Amino acid sequence: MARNAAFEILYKDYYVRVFGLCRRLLNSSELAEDAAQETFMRAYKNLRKYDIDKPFWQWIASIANNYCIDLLRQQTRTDALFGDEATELEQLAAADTPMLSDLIAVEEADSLNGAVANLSAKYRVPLVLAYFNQFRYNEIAEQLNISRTHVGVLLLRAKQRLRADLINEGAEGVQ
Amino acid sequence: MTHLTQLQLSMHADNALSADEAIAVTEHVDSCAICKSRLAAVRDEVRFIASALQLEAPEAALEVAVPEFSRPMSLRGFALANLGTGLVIWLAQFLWKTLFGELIVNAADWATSLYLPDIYAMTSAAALYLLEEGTTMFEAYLGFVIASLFTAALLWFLLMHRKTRATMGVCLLMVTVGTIVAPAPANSLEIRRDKNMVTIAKSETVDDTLLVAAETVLVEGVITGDLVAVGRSIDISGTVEGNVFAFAESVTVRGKVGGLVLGAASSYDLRGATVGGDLWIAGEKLSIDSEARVGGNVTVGTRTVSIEGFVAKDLYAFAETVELRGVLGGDLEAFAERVRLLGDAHVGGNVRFRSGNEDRLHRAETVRIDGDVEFLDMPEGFEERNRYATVEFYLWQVARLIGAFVVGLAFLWLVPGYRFVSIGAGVDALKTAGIGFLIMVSVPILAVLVALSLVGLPLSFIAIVAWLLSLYLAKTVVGAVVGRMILSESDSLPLTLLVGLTVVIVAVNLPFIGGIINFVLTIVGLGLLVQYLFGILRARDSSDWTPA
Repeated sequence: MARNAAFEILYKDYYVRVFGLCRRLLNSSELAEDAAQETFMRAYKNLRKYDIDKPFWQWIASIANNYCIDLLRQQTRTDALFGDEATELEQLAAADTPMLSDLIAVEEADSLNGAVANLSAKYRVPLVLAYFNQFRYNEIAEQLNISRTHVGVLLLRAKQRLRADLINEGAEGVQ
Repeated sequence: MTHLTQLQLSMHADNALSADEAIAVTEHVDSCAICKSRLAAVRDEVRFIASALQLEAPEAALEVAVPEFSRPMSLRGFALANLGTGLVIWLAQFLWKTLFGELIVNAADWATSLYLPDIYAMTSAAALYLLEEGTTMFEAYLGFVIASLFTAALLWFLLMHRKTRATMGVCLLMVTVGTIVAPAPANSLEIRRDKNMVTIAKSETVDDTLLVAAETVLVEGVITGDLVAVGRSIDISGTVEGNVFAFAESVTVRGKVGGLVLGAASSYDLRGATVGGDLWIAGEKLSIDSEARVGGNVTVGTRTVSIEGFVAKDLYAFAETVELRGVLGGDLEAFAERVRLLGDAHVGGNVRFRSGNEDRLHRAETVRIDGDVEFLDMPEGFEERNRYATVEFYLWQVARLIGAFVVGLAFLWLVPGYRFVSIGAGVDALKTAGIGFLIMVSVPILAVLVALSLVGLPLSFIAIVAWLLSLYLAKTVVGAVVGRMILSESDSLPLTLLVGLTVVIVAVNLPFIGGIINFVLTIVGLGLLVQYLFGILRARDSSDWTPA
């Protein structure tokens, strides 16, 4: 049917992006492959719920997010995958750590990506959604079922972790 | 003064603060150099992270092989596959077994019901011509029909499941196995044809079903299977152990027939014949002489019916004149101008005469009728009664609603695309109705034309079945559309379908205008069905040309 043909095209166009997103979120190529398949499977079954006026990427990305986040929640076996807002706020480091952009050059994006991969899901997921997916805080908050400020705190913590990670790496490199 | 917190800076850099907060932050930043530089640094960092994340993505993408998308093996696909396979196997078996028996007979029977002058001469001439010109035609007949059916079925599967090779493989396997396992036709077939005359001599025994066509057919010997005969004049004085299907200008049966006799002729005579089964005759004149016996019922649609012999069961006669002098074991039911019961006629059951005029039944003094004599109004009489006043009417409508609901639900589940068709407005609606009207009128005409070629009989049979199915489904599809119009917010398929069908069934039963509504809804529904079908095909064709 027409639906099948159209879907085939969408699949070819978006597979790589969906796969990339899943890999970021899950930190594993193998898991990401399954997740991408599952995402398209779900999209196929629910294609009639897709609102044609909205970008397809946004719709399929949210399916992928939902699936990956569910998967991560199952792995941690706890509902509080993203921690408690107040606790996270307390754990914010002091203000004077150097900025990432000062620590490494753009050419060294690899080491940053390595550091992103080392982040726990708690920080990695919002970071990917915000800066890779370019989702707004509201959208992330809705997707993760947490408050907007909580998203802000998690992102800030994520950035601090990345900085700390890169500083350590730099120190090891010097030794 | 207090500087902005890290969180404020970070969220502001991401444009995530509320409007009030953002204004306050902006005001502070404008007057505080420290916070201004911090904010700039945070913004740089965010840009850096975003570009780093994006930078890595294409590299990783290069390594990603896009696997084939495996469509979910849904219950629906499975059901469709099974349904399709079952249908193909059934059709193949059905054709093998009944092609030469029932299909030809039914079509000829139907044709004779048209009462065209000389239709028998015409059809027998046409059949003779075909048999003479195309020796190989009948031999290739079965092969052709089955091959085209298979092709059609495969095409259908390709259209439905273009990518699921597994499903197709399973189906092919099942069809092959089914065809091999399916029992071959019980009787083999013998075909005899000749321009002038075919004779089965007295000494001859045919151990098969015999298909025979000639100007004159004489059966004096024994046929153990069925006899299918077409010609100008057919005379059966021997024995046919199976059924007799005979179509000619004149058919005379003098011998013994084990099964039923079915056929059409200008004149059909049973002279001293013994028929074990029923008699189904259409034509001009049927006469059963005083020596003839029929073991079953007699159903006859001819101008005149004359029975002097013995009929074991009932007689249903649709005729101008019915004359009975013989013995009838069961009831006599006549839709006729005149019924004459003469001489020593004896009716074992009741006489029901569908006429308001009692004078049209002539009954001699000596005639015996064991049951009652009833005069019933012609069917039009029933229409004049108020049908809305009967309980049966409402029960029937509820049954109809339930039937349409179940069928509709199954249909929309199997072909979910129909859930979203819409009639459109103005010209679109007219176009839909126009297409529906064309289909409604043209399919039967085309089917008749194809059927007349005899070779196309199975095709026209399939077309008519599809046409009847579509007529039934048309109103269901319209019901679904109407339901969605009424309950535009509802997402529930059963609910919208039920509401829509209820509205449709009430509408088509409205007094005076119900008939017109019924007609309009049917053609609109047909139009939708057909448009959607072709919409699919078009979309498919164009999508093939889209570069992936």
